[in-house]
Amino acid sequence: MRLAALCALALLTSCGDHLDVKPIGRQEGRAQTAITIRSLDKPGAEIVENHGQSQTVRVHVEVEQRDGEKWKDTGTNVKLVERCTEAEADQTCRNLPAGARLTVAPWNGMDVGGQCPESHSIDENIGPGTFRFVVTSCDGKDRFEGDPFDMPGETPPPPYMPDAKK
Amino acid sequence: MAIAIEYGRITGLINAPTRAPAITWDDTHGRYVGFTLVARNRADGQVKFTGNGRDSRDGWDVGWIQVAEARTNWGMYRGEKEEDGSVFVQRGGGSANRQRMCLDISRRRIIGDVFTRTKEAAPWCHCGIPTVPFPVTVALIEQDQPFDWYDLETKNALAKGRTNYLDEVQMEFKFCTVLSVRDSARTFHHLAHFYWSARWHYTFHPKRYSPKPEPEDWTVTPVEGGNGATMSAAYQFPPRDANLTRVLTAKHTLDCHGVVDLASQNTRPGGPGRREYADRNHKPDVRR
Repeated sequence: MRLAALCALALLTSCGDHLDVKPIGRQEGRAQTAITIRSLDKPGAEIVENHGQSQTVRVHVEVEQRDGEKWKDTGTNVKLVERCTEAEADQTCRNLPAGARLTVAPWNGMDVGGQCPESHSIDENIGPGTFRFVVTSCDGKDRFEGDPFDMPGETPPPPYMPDAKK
Repeated sequence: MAIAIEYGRITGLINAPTRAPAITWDDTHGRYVGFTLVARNRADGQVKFTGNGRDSRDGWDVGWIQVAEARTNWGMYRGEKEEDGSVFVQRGGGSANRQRMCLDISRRRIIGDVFTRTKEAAPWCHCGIPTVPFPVTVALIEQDQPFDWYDLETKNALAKGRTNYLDEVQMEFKFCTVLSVRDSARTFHHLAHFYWSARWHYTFHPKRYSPKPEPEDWTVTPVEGGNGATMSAAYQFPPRDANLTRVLTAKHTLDCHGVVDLASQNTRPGGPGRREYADRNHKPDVRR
């Protein structure tokens, strides 16, 4: 009897733990989507996961900024790549296989060169504000909207310019 | 009394020198060498408006307009051995890019607009006239730090895909920055301007080829006379160069991001801005 009670207690405990775990693909308060975009540990660091069938999506990731009740495209150049040197960086669309998890090369808030190196003169930090990544299917019909995240407005030092050689 | 511009002037200029190129080497960003200034250049300006409380400020914008020209921008790659060949990349005014002048704007360009900035918050902006009593003085700042980069390695298809290593880079960017007002009739009033430039010319040599050279294995040498940044005095009147003023506000002027994108496409394998050679020691005409 005591053993059964202990087992029941263990079962209840484990069930209680699982109550906090979100099933794959379910965003809190939103309908299930095949492709999710989740925020990682710091602003601008996102992971894209395909919970459905293999799908072709645009390499260009829209970075939207909250403007009151609306979201507007910032025109910032962010690509759906883990590394800037990937061949996919030069393509218009790429395949996301079923079950794929892609940790997007992080974006630092700059409107140009904020993810991968880009030749530029004028650049500006488009924060502070609340932003989200949006991945679009290659044919443009489907949009997958990511978790909102807050980005500060300070201009960060270029992450890819170490101290110059003397 | 209608809104009028009492004056517009540049009140301060700071010119930042060029810095030696820096090699970046990480999994995310790749292996490349970056070129920039030690800090952002800075221009401070003021525009004073007069008017009365009933004048509508709608449609008035004040900001900076900048035109850039990158006539020189090329890189040369060479293999380790004679049979590895060489590769020449032309991003500047050669065959890759016939448009010499471009409009320098932040990427978030409002279609049809020409000001460098899109942020509305002064002083880094193109802004409207604040809703405070006239006379109103708007203070503006423009800060700029050009950046360009070249991969440290490239594959030479003409030499069976052998690796060619960065050997030499020369770049020069020239700018004209104009303090300008656009009135409610969308007429521009260019009030003051200055010129500035930055150039780099370096040779690169890996101290070893195998195993792959790490950042510390590269010898980076400045070419004498090829490096520096200049800035003119502030001219408190509109630019007088007709070619320049035509480009400043013309809708057909390509913005510099478009020019960069075009050069990037043109310098991919097979593009008109990329020339591969079987000869490791080939000396191309860098003007083409």
